[in-house]
Amino acid sequence: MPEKKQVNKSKKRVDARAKVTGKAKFGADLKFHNMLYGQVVRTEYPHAKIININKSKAEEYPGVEVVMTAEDIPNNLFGVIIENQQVLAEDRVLYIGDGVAMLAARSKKAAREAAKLIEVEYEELPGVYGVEEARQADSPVVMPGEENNQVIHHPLRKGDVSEGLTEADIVMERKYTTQFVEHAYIEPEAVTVVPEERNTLVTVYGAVQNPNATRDAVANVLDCDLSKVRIIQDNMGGSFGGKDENISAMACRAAVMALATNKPVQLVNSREESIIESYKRHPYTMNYKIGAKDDGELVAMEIEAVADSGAYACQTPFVTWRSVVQATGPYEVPNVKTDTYGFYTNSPYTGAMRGYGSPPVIFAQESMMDELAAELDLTPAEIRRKNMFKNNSRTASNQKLDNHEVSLTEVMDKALSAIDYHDKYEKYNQPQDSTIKRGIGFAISYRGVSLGAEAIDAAGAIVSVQKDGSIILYSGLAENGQGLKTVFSQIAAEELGVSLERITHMETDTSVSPESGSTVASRSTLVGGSAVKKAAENIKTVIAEFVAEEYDYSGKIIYRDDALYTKEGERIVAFPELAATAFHNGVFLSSYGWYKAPGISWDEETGQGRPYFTYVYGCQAAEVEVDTGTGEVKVVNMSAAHDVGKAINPANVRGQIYGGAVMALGHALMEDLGFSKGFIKHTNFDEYLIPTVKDAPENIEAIIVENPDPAGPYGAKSIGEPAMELGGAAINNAIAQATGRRLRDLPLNLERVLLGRNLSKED
Amino acid sequence: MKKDISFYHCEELDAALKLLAEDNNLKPIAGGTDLMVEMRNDENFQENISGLLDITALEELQGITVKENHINIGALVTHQEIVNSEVLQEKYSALVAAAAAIGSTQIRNRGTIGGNVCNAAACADTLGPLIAFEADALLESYAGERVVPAADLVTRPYQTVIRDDELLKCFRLPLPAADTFSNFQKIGRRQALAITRISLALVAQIADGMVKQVKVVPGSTTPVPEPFAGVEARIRDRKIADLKPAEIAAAASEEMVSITGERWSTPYKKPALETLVTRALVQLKEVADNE
Repeated sequence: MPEKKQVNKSKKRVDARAKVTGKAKFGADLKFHNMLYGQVVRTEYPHAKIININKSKAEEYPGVEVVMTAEDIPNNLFGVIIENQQVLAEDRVLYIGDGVAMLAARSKKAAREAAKLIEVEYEELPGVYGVEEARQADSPVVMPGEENNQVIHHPLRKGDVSEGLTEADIVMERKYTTQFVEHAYIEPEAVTVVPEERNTLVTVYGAVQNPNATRDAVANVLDCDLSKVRIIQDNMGGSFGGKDENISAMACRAAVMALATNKPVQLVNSREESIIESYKRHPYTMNYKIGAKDDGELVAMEIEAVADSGAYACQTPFVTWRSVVQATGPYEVPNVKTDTYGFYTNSPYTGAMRGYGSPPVIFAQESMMDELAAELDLTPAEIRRKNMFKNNSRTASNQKLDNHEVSLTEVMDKALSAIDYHDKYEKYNQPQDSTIKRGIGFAISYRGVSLGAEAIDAAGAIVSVQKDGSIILYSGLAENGQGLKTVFSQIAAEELGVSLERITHMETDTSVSPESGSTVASRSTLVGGSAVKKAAENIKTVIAEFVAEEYDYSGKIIYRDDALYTKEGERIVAFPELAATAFHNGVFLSSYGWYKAPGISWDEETGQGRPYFTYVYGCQAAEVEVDTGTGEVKVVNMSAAHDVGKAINPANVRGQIYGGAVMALGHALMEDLGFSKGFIKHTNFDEYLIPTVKDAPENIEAIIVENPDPAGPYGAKSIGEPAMELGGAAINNAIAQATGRRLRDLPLNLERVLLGRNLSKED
Repeated sequence: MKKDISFYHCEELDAALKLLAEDNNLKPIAGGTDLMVEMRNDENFQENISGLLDITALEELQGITVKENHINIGALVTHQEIVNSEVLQEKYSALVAAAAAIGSTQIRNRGTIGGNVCNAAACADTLGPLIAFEADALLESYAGERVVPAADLVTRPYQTVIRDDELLKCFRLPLPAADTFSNFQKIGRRQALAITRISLALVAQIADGMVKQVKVVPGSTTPVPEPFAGVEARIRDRKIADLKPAEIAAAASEEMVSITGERWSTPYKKPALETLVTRALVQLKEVADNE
């Protein structure tokens, strides 16, 4: 293999300059002639009947152009999986973020002031808070038209779990819970909708994570053709899975008002509006029953994982599906019975967030492995080595892991040695004199890459060589801050042997870019990157024919240093000259590339099959210092080893690992929305605490492990979500070692760490 | 619609005090790190005042000045200036530690000690050390000056004795005796930008192995930071070698509960406060041992 010039290199991000110089435009930066400012009026109660809405005072307010309610919306329901999310509440509000009315005015001030004049009469209804209540037979039904509160149930059955438990020498049962988590992207949601622009009905600009999903929602709500709705993505100030359905709702609202006024309408959330309205990470309640032999061999697992879906179905069916696949962790277990559920409640709706359905189950299952090890007098490393997947292992779904390297031993060895785990583990097991005690813990995982059996898994890209040799790249998957444009540009540059500067990666534009599904599931590099590679390869096929004709060379062409060479290393032609000559000879050097992921299968009744076509493996370790007198926890060191197949951009991979580790730290230690019967108390970052740079570990050793995967471009797989799903369990295990007390509920705040239980004003 | 308000900027103290005398509904603004947040959060904030008075240019409120028997810290001195001051580091380390623990770099660069105290949150970090160092507040109005002990300045959360026509000019801190020990600790939910869950300021004057004078002021434990007299009585005029930190710490948490009653947070705050008191006293004993 010749040495790679562009991929597997830490190239500078292609969007870095614009972002650090402030030239990059974000959703709220856009201005259009005659643009109106929208404002949404939200419910005062988490669950209530709307008796009456009086909008007359608001309509009379100077500068107000339109005031609307649900009855003005052509089709009020949308949703990626189940269409039951209200653009505006019709007769019943289901959670504290539901909008009941909206208006557009000529100034922000007028919009804000007029919104206060909309009079809404409610009849407050008792709400359902928490899945325990939601699953009771006599619970009030949250979702109109449903018979009960269950959104989804995914069963998985392998072997015979009762028999397995009988064979076990030890059976342990534990309950774990995780909390609602806010995405906390630095840029609150922003969209602008321009009516009747350039042959469309509406054009939507903004912080749109998944342009095609938002297009579906807007076209559905306006009851128009997809071709009449154009979504153009702006730069994103973070997303983490969080700018999907909430942005779609905003785009629908702005679109309806834009068409009613025939003027552009902009909607921008304040931080408080964002936290109150946006969907959260699902809180989980998990019961794990594990049976093992005295030597640590796992014989059975019985798992129930219940997710709070909040007011809407949103992504719950798929989030809980990932949970059912991964709930047993990366271990060979002959007998498994797993049930995952989602239930409607009157809490904020929950959806996609970095990690999707895996962080809660990994927190439970990797905490439990440590508990089991302690019970059997084994070390955490011993019990994992005894049971973890190797090449050709069979998963809980009975999938044979035989098409890629199962690298758990490698990631575990590398992560543990980087943090000097074994010595520290022995040391911290000895009595510690100080009230400030250290502990070290780790977790391992396997993660299905891309969508799996959730949906069709294919993506496209356009690579278009201009006559001067510059290249325009369109991708159906979107840059959400993760570095997609850089990675895709590197792949195109590698294939065509050109410098990165020749490539301009355009914004995703639904009227140009091939529809590629959503930018989710850490799928972009593998699925989207393969599409870019395919497009470049198509162009090279055309070039080869043209070179044979024009330059009389029909051997293998080497593309490097902005030129074409013979396999003997003789220069054929410079790339720009080739592009010009081809153009003037009528040769078309542009191509769509399309990639469809390898086949998968899934049996809904038994949870057996091939849920994902490949997996990634990771290990993260955390060393903590716990003040046993105050409950304060400081994560002093972390190490993280992730098998990414092949790192297209190693610096970017390390960045994902650092960010993922710190994000997991926040979820584990501090993030808390301050819920009180459906109300959110912590609506800004003074109270909703996320880690500051001072809370980040002094050192995070990021280790890239590369076992190229046959499915990925150059062997590349994924890193975005794998990097954040492990940290919580690792930190929990470290705290348990430091304090000698096992905690099972997140977040591990001052009270839980000091007292072993949470305190709340409610109790 | 929010009412328009006036914004005044004064270069001279007299002019500012005259304005305050004429209009008793002006709100002074310095660093604005609390006030700006309050203005955004409180819908009626502008309804309730006639205007803002920018006091940042008033020289009399600035700077740290060393006098013969005391040190003046101007109300406009920022937290970062306190952190950087060599004389404060040397003589009032607990105050410096409190200032260093506030907010973030940005907040410390803008926020002032005057604002921290005048905002009068129960979790204001600098008030405890000021009380412990027995500081006086110098209040000035067009009519004249008055002196109020820092301990009497705040009457209840977000409420001080400062009149509408007065400005806090500076804090006057008596120079501590040669062997003065001081300690400040703080617990937050994260390492920066965290509202204090509990803090403790302890200042003790040591002589001949005895504690001659002591002030123990916990923060965020009572509605207003106040010296714990019962705890102080268990330390004052005692031999340091005889002090039993754990017992005194237990008395401190009892004293807290006697003031606040049992609250939802008490099960946490009791042991946590005991930890802070124990640590301060253990450190005091170590320092005394080394002398």
